Formats: sequence, structure tokens, C-alpha cells
Amino acid sequence: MFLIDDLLIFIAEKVHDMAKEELEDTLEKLKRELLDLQMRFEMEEFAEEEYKKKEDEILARMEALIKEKKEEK
Amino acid sequence: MRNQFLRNFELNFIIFGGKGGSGKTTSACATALYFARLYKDKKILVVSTDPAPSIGDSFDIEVGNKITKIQDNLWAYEMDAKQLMEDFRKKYQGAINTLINRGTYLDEEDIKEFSDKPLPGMDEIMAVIKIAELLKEKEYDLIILDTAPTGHTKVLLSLPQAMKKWLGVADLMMAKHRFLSRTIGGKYVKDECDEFLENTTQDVDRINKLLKNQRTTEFVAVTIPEPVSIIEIEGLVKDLRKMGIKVESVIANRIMMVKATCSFCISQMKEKYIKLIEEKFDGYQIVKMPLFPTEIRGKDSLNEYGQILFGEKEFKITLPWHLPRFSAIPQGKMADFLKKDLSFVICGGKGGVGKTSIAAATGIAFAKKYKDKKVLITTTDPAHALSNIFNQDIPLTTKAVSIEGFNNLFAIEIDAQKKLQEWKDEYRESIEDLFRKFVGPGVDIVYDKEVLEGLMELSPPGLEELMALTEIMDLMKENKYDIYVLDSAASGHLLRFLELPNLVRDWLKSIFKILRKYQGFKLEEVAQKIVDLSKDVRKIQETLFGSLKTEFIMITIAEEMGIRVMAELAESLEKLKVNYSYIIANFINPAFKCSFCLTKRKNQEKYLDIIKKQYSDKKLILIPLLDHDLRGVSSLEELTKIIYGI
Repeated sequence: MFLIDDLLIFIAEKVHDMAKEELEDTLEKLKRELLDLQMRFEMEEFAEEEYKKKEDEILARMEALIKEKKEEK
Repeated sequence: MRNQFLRNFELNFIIFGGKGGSGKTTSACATALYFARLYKDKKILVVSTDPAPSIGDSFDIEVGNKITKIQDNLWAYEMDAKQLMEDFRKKYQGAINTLINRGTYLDEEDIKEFSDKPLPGMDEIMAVIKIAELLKEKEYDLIILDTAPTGHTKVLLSLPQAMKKWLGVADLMMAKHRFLSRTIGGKYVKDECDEFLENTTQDVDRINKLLKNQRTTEFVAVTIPEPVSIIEIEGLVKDLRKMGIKVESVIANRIMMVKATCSFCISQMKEKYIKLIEEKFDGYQIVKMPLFPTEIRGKDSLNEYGQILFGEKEFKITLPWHLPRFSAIPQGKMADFLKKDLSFVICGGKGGVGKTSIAAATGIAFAKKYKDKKVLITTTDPAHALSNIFNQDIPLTTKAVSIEGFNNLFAIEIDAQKKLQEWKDEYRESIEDLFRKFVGPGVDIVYDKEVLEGLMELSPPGLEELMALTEIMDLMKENKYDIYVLDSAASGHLLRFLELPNLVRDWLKSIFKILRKYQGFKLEEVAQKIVDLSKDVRKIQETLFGSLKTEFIMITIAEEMGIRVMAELAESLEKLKVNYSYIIANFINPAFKCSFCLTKRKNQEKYLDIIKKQYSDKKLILIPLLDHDLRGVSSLEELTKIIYGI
């Protein structure tokens, strides 16, 4: 029994770590996306209005992730 | 009888320099004509390196960026840096691209992205390269150089030394390629890159050697009897001597030589400053040139000027008897300008039209009108004239100094080298990071380290303008001042400064393109810094161009050269969308009753009429030539009253 319990705990911890890592990765990915967006805006690929819209989208996703992260803790 | 001025038959390179408006071009052109007449078997070329050249105006012949025949053995040439840069690119771009390809990780597509981008500060570099080419060809026996105003003359003459350093770093970038070729192939065969480096190094060495040749090269300093002009050339002559460039003569120009019959003419005698020139340049040959009542323009008047300059003729004029009378010049006509909600004022125009004094008076006017606002005066001119005009020590620094008598007026003289060091310190890590990723594929770390160190030591071309722009961006970010008054360099270099934000943005756009392409290089930190920099430059663009918060004050003199330069400047301002609604015609003779003053004013009125007609949508403001010096706050306050009525 103990063995199964330990295994279950191990799996749960692993899943939690992986989810956390994925969350971190997604956050880093979003940060990179935001930076890329800023670069494209500075390159005048799109107007300020469109930039703001896209920026808001990324920021909202980042906010949701951070919230998720806090809740997990 | 001829004097000793330029009496050295071996001379083959003569450079004229001095503050804007001192008569450099006139003196250079008159000297060229004089020598062309004296040495009929010599081929003479007079060249202007000023981005706002006026040799053509002086000869009254269309010159421009082509060697133009003036008469049998005399040619003139106004260098156009942009065109020269294009020619240079056509000739060497292949070699330069290969060199970058060998020294960096960038591929052909990346290099192409940068290779057609204009560079800041190319005027002087292209001038050095072109002069070297002219010297190499030995087509002319004597080359006479008419330079841009003082600050940029120093930049030009010290450039060959800086260029040697750039070439040294470029050669280091090649060192690894040579090492690899020897290691892998057993030997190294020189190619177009080596040829480019060797040729350019030889050209730069040739110029360096020529500039310092005491037998064949001479610099002629030109000044007028005014303290700022005298102080500027005193500094210039000192620097030139340090560089090993020979200076033997000083032209003291625009000296009142007619018998003064009115109080204003007496005030223009300026004996005190003629004495100061004699004291400061004791041991030099001082050639005193008269103040003419009319413009020196066209071959006849240049010939006459030349004969007086070389002591072959005495100055004599016959003034007309019947001359019109003129009404008094009104004061305070720019009071409304102060009511505008401005945060940026740029004072610009041809060299020597009084930009610094009008910028200082404008700063004072704003500080007086808005006691709760902080006003900062700064300059993009490497001649650093603010100390002279305020008669107060404004050291080269990166900190603003409070102007005596005011608690809301400040001035800053930007120390370009110090600012560059600060900028390098701030970006060192990013530059090193970028370098590690893009330069030096790491075969031999010694080469890479040397290239990096070499690169970090270099000063970029157009440093003065770049650092002035950086400083203004930093100051605006700090929100420390409410109104900025910019005393700009003479028009050619002012345009270079105004074009700089667009140029920097173009470069940054290309850098972003590369950074996005190499996202796997993990350059997020560097990219973020460059994004921030781009935002700052964009903010400057938004402030300067097409904004009602910025206004340009066009300053001119009522002479053909002043009007011609103003027209070019006006066209560029329109393209750049810089607002301006006032034109100041400075140094208008108040025209008391004497014939000399009235003749001078009559000549000026002709050009004032042209301005009124050509710029009917602008407000023309006349500022009189004053009977005293403009130096120090109290005399500047008087000018403030004349312009703004405050």
C-alpha cells in the first residue's frame, strides 16, 4: 500500500512540477511574444491602435497565468 | 607692394577656417582668384567641405557637386557628402560587405539590410576621402579648402586620426580570416578587402602627412573684431598647433576703415577688439580687411578683395550722395511667440547670423515670462559658444549650469566624449553580449577580444550630433525642464542633426529585423534595451516633427548668401515637418544719416524685399545691428527687449 501511495504522491508531485514548469514556460513565452510585438511596433509593422489591442491580449493572458500561479500556491 | 600673406611658393594646400560669417568663403575664393592670376601655369582648385556651401554664391556661378571651371586655370567644387557616399559605396561596398561577413556571424541578407543605410557624420569622412583622392590624382597644383564653421573644422581635421583607428579595427576583423586561411590552406592571398584597407589607410596617411607638412600646407584663420569670433579662433589655432598644422596668418575681417561720420559708424570701429586680435595673435601675420558697404560677390569684387588681401591695393570707396531714408526698426515684434505653448524652440540659420545670441535672448525671454517654468538652453554646435555669449563659465559636462541672475534658466554644453563614455558604460554589457553572439565565431579568442576592445574604443562618426540627441532624450525623460531652447550648429550641420532621429530609427528597425531573425540567440535583454532606445527616439521624433509644441526660428542676414542658405533650410524644414512662422533678419543697419550706413541698408533692403515676397506667410522680424557687443546677461537682456519686448 505504502508503495502505491508513495508512487501516487510522486506522480502527483511530478504532474504539479510539470504544470508549474509549463506555466513558467508559457509566461516566458508570453514575455518573448510581448517583446517581439514591441519590436514589430517599433518597426512600424502596424499602427498604435492595433498594437495596443495585441498588447492588451498578451497582457491579459499573462495576468491570467500569474493569477493561476498564485492560486496554485 | 605685396605683403607676406601666403608668400610661400611651395604651398599646395591652404585651408581657411573660422567662425561662421567671418568671411572664410570670400577669403578662400579671393585667394584662389588671386593665385590663378599670379601663377598662370598652376592649376588651382577651391573646394568647400561645408554641408551648406557658398563658393558658387561667392563666384556668382553655379557650382555644386561637380568640379566646375571658373576661369582658365581655376576650378571650384562644392562637396556633396551624400553623393560622395553613394560613389564610395559603389566602389567599395562589395569589399566592406565581405569584410563584415568574415568578421561577424551576419549573413549576406543581414549585411545587405545595413549596407544601404546612410550613416551619421559622413560629411567630414567623405570630405577626407575625397581630398585624399584629389591629392592622389595630383591633378591640381594648389588646393584651397573652405571649411564649415569652427567646431566642425576641428572635427574634420582630427578625423584622419580617428579613421586610422576604425581601419585598425577593420583590419583586426580580417586578422582571423587571414589566420584561418594560413592554417587551413597553408598560405594567405590578399584580396579586395585587403586592397580596400590598404588603399584607404594609405589615403588617410597621405592626408595626415599633408596636414602636418609645414612646407606645403598652411591654415589661415579668419575672424572679425568680435569677442566670440576671436575666442573661437584662438582655441582653434591652439588645437591646430597641437595637431602640428601650420598657422602663420590671421585675417582680421570687416574692420571699419572709412572715416566714421556718424555715431553708429564710430561704434563699429571696435578698436578694443582689433587690439585684442593683435595681442592674442602676436607673432602671426595679421591681415586687416575692411568692412565693405556692399556684398563681395562675383569675380570683380572678389578680385578687388584679393588685391587688398595681398596688399596690392588700398581700400578706397566712393559712396553715393543721394540715398533714401529708412524708418526706425520696431521693437518687441515677437512678443506673441512667447504666448505659444511651446516646449522646444530651435534657433537655426547660416553660420554667423547670430543664432547663439538669439537663442540666449529667447531663453531669457521665456524665463522672464514664465517664472514657474524651467528653461534650458543647449547647443548642438561643437564650437561650444554658450560660455562666451553668457560670459559665464559653462563647462563641458553632462550637468546643466544655472544662469546668473535667474533661478529658472539653465544652460548645458554637452561633452560628447564624456556622454559617449556614459552611454558605452550603460550599454557595455549589451554590446558585449551582441558582440559575442554576432562577431567573432570563436576560432581564436585573442582576435575576438582585440576586435571587441578596438570597437569599444572607437567614437562613431557624427558623434557631436548623436550625443546631443542622446542628452536631449535623457533630459526629456527626466522631465526636469519645461522649455528647451536649442542653439543649433550652422544650417548644414543643423539639418544633419534634424535628420538624425529618422536615421537612428531606420538603423534600429534593421537591428530589430536581425534580432527577430536570430531569436534562438537569447538576446531578450539586449532587445529590450534597444526597444527602449527606439521608444525614446520616437518620442523625440514626435516632439520635433509635425508638433505644435516645437517651433523653429529662422535666422538670416539680408545678403544673397544668407537668403540662399535660408531657402535650402526652409525646403528641408518643410520636408521634415518642422514648424516655423518667424524669420529674423539680423544685423540690419539702423541707417543713421551717414552715406556708409545708408548704402549698407539700401543693399539690405533689396534682400528684405525678396524675403517678404518669397515668404509672405511668415512674419519677418528685423533686428538691428547693435552699437555694442552682445556678451553677458545684461546685454542679452537688451536684445531680449528688442525681440520680445520683455
